[in-house]
Amino acid sequence: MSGGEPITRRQALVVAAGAAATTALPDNVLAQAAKTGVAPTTGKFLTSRELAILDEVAELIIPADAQSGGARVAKCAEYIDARLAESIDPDWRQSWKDDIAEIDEISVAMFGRPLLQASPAERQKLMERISRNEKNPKDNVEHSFVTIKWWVAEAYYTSKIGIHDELQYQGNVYLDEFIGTDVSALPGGQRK
Amino acid sequence: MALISLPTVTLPEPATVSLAKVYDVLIVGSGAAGGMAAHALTAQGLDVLLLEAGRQVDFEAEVRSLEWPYDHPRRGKLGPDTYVLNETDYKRLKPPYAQSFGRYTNVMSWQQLGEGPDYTKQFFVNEKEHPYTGTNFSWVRSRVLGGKTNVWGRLSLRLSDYDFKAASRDGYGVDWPISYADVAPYYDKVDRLLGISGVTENLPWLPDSIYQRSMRLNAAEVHMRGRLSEKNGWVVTPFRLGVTTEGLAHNKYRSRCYGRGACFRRVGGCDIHAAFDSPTGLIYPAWDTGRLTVRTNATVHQVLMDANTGKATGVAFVDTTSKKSYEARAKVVVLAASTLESTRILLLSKSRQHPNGLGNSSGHLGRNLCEHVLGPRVHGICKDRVGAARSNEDGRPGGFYIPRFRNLDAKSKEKDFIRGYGLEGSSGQEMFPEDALKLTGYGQAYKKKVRGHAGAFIYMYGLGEVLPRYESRVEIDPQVKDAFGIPVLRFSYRYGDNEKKMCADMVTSMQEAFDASGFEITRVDRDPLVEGSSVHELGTARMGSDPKTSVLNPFQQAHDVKNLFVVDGAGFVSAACQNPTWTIMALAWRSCDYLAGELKRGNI
Repeated sequence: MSGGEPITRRQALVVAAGAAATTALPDNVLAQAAKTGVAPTTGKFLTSRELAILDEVAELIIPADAQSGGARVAKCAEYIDARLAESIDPDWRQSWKDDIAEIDEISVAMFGRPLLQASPAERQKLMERISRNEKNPKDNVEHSFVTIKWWVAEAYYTSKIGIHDELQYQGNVYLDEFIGTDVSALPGGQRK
Repeated sequence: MALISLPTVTLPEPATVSLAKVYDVLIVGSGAAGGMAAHALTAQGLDVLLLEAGRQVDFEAEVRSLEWPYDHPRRGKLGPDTYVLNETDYKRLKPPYAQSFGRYTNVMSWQQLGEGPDYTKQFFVNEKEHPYTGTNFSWVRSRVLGGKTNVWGRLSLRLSDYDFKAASRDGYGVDWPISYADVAPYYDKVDRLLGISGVTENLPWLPDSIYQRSMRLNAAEVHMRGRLSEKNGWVVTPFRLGVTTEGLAHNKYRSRCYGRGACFRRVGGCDIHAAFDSPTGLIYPAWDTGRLTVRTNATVHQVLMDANTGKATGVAFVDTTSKKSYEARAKVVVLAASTLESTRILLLSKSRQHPNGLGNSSGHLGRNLCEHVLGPRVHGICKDRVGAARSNEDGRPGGFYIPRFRNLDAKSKEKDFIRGYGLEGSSGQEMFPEDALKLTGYGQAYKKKVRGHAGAFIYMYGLGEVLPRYESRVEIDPQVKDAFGIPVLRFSYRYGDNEKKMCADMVTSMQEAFDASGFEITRVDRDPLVEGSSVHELGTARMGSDPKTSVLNPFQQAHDVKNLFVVDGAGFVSAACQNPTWTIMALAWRSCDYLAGELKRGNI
């Protein structure tokens, strides 16, 4: 049986190629893009300083590497800021300011300077501190980390960089047939 | 945008639909049951009016199946004026749930918690306009042409005599007044008309359908199929999907499946209609007969009766847009408004002759509410797949299904609970790596772990039978009304001990399956979700041979009113553990063939 207007294999390949074209960049280009990512300067809701702190924490959570850009080039902080800017929930909006302030304050407490002035090694130590009870956070800053990480992961892995460059997702294209694995050809396969 | 351009039907403006004539049959609701009724009755040459409470959906424009998350300003999520109820809300608060979220314009059911709810937000009701009261219950309602079939989960299973005659097997409740042999020819007709994919397994308790090409299992699932077959005697089969994989030569409104995948985003929905939906599968083809009239935006709240003849004469409805009241007339009324909405209409249609609601001389109307319990869930990792080369594992509309294996014979009999459950799940790389929200850590190690796990993830959850109980009921709340001034339902319904023990066994079984397959378990959820979460409400107007203990006869005809039928899930005697859509349609078709025959013979 057949139904609708069947597409040709070539049409399907064109669609697939179109999806791939956005991602098939050489490693050196990707690495360069990761390096040249710059922190956003103006927030829609967060202050510039808050946005910069959030952007830095996001990049510490999902950093750039040889495979793909990190949270900074994926603009995760800007995505979160845009969601906050349109929110009508004042408690939720304030909670983000509080979370960001918590992280800056723990940096001051640990190193005598705010996060953005901390050295790379100090920033790693801060991340160790705030993530140490991730499954069962004990204090405010640990709760802050859990919230920020959830949102950064959500933003990153729904971004173009996260889906294509990092995870190399290959679906969402027209196929003649989804192949998967043929059950009948394997042990314990199709019952007759 | 979909590559495939399909024809559609543009329905007339509601105000232009003639309400002056007396139709042969008037159908209320356009989902699986209402759509099938429209198909079956027009095929019999009858002149049919279908009333739908919602609007017609411009499916391709709204659902946009292939749009990437990053092309949407909120990655597919809803706007700031909408609050989506979550599991904590459902358990912590009491209905009506929306009253706790005053600052939001819209309050939506949990169905909108998925990855792409903004595409389907118009499919579901605003809880602020459609409250209900009573015990905690997650009641998901869709008011558009096609109802929930626009976004359903697609798992399409048959019931067997293990289900129809369950009471005779274990002594609980009552048997259905029909057997598998009565329904089997109609299951076959549904299979051929709408298309279903699956693998023949020859299980007596889960009869096979007439399958088109099956979807494939992913590698971890094939491995599990072998191990569970060998160790437990359990079957791991590809989802039996209400999806046409080979196309349907008789239906120009639907394409075959092109493996585009990502089918679990958007809260479901398929803009090339490879997955069955009622408008393209049933209503538009019925429209083409020239014998179907459809009026959208018509919220029916009462069946009109002739006190002299004792017969229904039509229905009263409110126009959803203008809020004006209207009546429509027909020789026969068929309710297919969804299980609880049909029962609500019957309860609201009380009169001097029917003081407890229409068709309720038995006192069973609104009672024996049943559904499926879910919540227990196990997540894990197929370690062999960690870091494996990338391939497309997301080109299918469903994962795997493990049919019921409890209480089938003496060997599988459980001492703690009766009836059974099936296990559903999926594995492999989906667009969003679910482990990203579960794995601990940060930095390079975290990123690398998410990458490695993306194709190795596997999850499984149970779906079990909730027993029908006389005390499990809905009734009309005497105080609360919806946005149209129509009194709402009040729930008295809770899971019992059988469901709780069944859930505990689900967890044990799933852990056993993972262990047998060598999968690492990363998370175990043990608790049942709030009542109603399966979106499989069934019963409340059960069929039976005895008018003293049932509302409908074996053809879903009201015992009390011979020209009144209820062809949705309300007629179910018990829920079984199988997803009900295919059975609802088979039964609706069977009942409508009977209706047409009786009408032609002058018996109605």
